[in-house]
Amino acid sequence: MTRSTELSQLLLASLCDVPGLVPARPATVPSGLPWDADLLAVEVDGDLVTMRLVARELPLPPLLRQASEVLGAALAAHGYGGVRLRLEVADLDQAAFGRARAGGQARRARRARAGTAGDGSATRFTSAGP
Amino acid sequence: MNAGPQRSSRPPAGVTRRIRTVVTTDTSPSTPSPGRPASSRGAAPPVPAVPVESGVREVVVAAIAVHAATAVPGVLRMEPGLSGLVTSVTRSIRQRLAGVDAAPADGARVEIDGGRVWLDVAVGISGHDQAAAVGAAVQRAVARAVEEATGYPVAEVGVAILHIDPAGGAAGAAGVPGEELL
Repeated sequence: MTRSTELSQLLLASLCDVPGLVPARPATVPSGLPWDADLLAVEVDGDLVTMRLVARELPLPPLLRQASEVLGAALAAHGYGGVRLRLEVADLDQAAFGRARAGGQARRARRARAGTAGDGSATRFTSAGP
Repeated sequence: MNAGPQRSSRPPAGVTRRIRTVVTTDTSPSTPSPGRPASSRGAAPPVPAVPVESGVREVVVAAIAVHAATAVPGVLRMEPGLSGLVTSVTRSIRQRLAGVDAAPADGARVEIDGGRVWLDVAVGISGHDQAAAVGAAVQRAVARAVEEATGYPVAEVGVAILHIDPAGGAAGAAGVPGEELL
């Protein structure tokens, strides 16, 4: 197994811990392949690892924060501390609109149960372009 | 009718980056979380954090905008136009993703630059409603939905009303309760 495949499989397995995000697997891949087509959602280019995702929940900032923590921790724990991870929300599932309200309520309930009411801070998206 | 304000700050059309990921965020965890192995192992040596950045493609923002616009009372449908149809076909071919019921994004054009979002939406409305009022309601609904769902600040929402149905249609049939026209 190559380093690229191993890394991709690690990310895909870790993504299962983030409900609301799934790998963006092209549908044009023929069925019956002897390998996991989800691997196509991960692109390894040197130290840069790009993972394309489909969101099935809204809002996106908490989802991406959670994914960053889970996937970043998995990479670091398996000795991939030298890579840079880029998460790319490539598409949005129609189901996200049905779950947006329910998802927000569930998150608020989880915070209430955990005794953390939230610090009110919001992720600010800033351009990382040149 | 274009209900959008003047675009003095908008980048020239020729230099705008096209459909790719255009906004990125450094979402690297700055402090150890309970789920991180480094913090749960006590005496284990600290594991170097992996830098993580995230981005959202324009089509995702467009889908959110379309969903918000079509929920405004008085809006009957999106009007993608010819270029929108071409974009839609291209998207269906290139971005058809397994197991995904992709949210429609036709009728909205998105540009993201400098961390801010510019949107143009084209709609068909009912003849029973005031066009200016519907346009303003679409602006508010789209801006609010995009900011809430993505965290991106919205710089501008341009609304083009391409069709007015004199028969009226079922105005507000898909409307969001509480969304007022004025």
